[in-house]
Amino acid sequence: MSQSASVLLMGHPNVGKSALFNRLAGASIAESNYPGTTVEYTKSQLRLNNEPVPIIDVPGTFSLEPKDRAESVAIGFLESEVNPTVVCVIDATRIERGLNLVLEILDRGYEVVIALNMWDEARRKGVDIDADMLADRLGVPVVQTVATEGDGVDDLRSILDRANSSSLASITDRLPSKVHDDSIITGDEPAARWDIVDTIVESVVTYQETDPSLSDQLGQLTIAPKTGLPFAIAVLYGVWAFFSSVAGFFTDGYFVPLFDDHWLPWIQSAFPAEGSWLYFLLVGDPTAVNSFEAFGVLTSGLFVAVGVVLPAILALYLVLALLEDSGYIARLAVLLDAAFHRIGLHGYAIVPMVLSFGCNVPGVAATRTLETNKQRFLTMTLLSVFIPCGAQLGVMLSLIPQYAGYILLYLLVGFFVFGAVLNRIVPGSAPEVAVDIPPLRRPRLANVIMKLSVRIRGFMMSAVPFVLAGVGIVNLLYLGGAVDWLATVFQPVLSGWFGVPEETVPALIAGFMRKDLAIAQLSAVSMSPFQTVMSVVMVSIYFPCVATFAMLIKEGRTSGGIIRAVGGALATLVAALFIWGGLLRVIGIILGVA
Amino acid sequence: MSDNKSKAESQSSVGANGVSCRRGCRRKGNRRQCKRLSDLECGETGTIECVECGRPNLHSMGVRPGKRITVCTKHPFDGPVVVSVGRSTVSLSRSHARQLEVTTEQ
Repeated sequence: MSQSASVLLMGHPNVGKSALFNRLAGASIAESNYPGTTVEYTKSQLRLNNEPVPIIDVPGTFSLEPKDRAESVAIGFLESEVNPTVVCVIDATRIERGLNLVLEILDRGYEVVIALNMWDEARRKGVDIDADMLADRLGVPVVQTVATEGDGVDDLRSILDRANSSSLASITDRLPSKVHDDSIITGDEPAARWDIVDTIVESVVTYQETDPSLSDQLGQLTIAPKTGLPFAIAVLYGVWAFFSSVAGFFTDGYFVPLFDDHWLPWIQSAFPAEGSWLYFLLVGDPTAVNSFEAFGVLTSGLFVAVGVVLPAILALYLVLALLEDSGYIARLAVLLDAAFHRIGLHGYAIVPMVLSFGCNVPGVAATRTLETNKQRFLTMTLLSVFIPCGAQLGVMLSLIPQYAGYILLYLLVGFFVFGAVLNRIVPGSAPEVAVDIPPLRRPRLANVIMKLSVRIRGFMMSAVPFVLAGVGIVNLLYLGGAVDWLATVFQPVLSGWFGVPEETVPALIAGFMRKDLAIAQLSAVSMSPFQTVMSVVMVSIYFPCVATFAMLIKEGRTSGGIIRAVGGALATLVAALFIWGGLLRVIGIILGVA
Repeated sequence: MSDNKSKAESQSSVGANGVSCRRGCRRKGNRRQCKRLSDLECGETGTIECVECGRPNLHSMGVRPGKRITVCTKHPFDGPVVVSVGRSTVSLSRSHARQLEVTTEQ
């Protein structure tokens, strides 16, 4: 008994596996209200009879025949673990399809415990399930749970050691009216399984008519084209308005005065050895009067990371969490489905896209829920090229608030134009999909706060060091003369094709590290408004930040091979940079502003 | 809205495997009419007759023969058809909806 068998949480997407995992293991992984939140497994420890037992949350799966990479992860775990205890998590409001998966798992001989989750919602919807009888019929323990509230979690923990296996034949024997015996003999036939499901449901579940709730009615209105599209435009505009005003409120109202009036002058005078290389590296320009232009690790670096980006992503992550938890993203996916079809994707590609506005890294990871290599490649390439992350948007809003919205629109149009072109060039299929639409739910404050704190902590741990290191590296390159050399080399392209000065080179270097930093660096270059817009668009498109690039390599490996995926992405971004950047200059020339 | 229990036995014996699936609508006459799901109007309800073979995905989402299916909305430009089936809301692409045969009461 040294190595306890692990506990696996399995079930359909969006039934609350991650919520249950968090309650069981005291973990804090993301819980949302859209199918496909979890694309990678999470492992933790569960204390059972004073013994640590590994517990694993896996991506949701509809059946044991995987249709995408996230589902393969789940089934891979089921097959590779030795004698796992499988906690089958079922959405009690739609017990039928959950039971179908349970029977599939039982049929393979695994030991199972059933968590009838969302018990509260089932009651409200008039679904009454006799859990004891269900346990009798199936021959495995059944617990009612409300994972988001923690109800029934202790009960579940206490019966984990009573997990049981149960053959379909024995289940059939226990059923009141025998199902067609001939079909049971070939046990794994889907139709036979459904027959058993129907017979079980008939005897243990009663449905009462309930009036459609407010959330049902809102759910209908937000998905019907006539009411849903205006609503979607209002939501998206509202998200943008909230994000830009809240970010500006904190940055301009508090952090700019704090850094410009107090921190910058203090460190400029207090830091010893003005004129030394260390001073240049850490403090930057001793005569700078604002924190964007000083460009030292402790001046601009700290200011961009904490004073500009932190409030911006705090605001953005808050609205993203509300979108994720309300169940609205899936409705947006349906409304945009026809548009995404034009570029070889389907509406559900909106999930990686929306996540990318927070940060491209989870956006690229979320492409795992797409079905084919082509779709994954298209989505990860387009979003890493055209979707600016929240940090970058935050700096744009702080530096050029009057242009930020237009730049975003220009990039989004580029997303679709290049998507349409790639769709024609890239071989592969783009299958039609069926998507589950979760009910609209009120986001839970505790979950929103938990998500925000996890993501902000992630930002502080991984992004802030990158911003600071980025400033340091650019300054070192300055000291070594590399910046001047690169500026001379790229001057013909920069001024000839894009019409921007060679002083933008440091920003392009910084862009490898962090896009927000790159935009901040542009503020130090004196340019016409159009040149500023142009260079911001260039920085957005030209190369994903190093974290996104690492993720592209990781995901590319399983989406058609590194060389194809990453090479294709790089080729796309070079083409996008020159064509979409060049087009912007042409537009500028026509408008007479370039 | 809620499931009608008695209907379960009527059609659920239609196999989901390749052979018996392509049985299609034979119950014409009988005051039942056979249609493609994509031809149903918004708000119209039918009983799923045959789900195109090779789409076990749909079955595991609860879209399977014998179930009552109601069209909630149909999106323009060949967009998806949102249906309510077995207490779930599912968005089917237009091509799925064309391949799905349903019978409606007249």
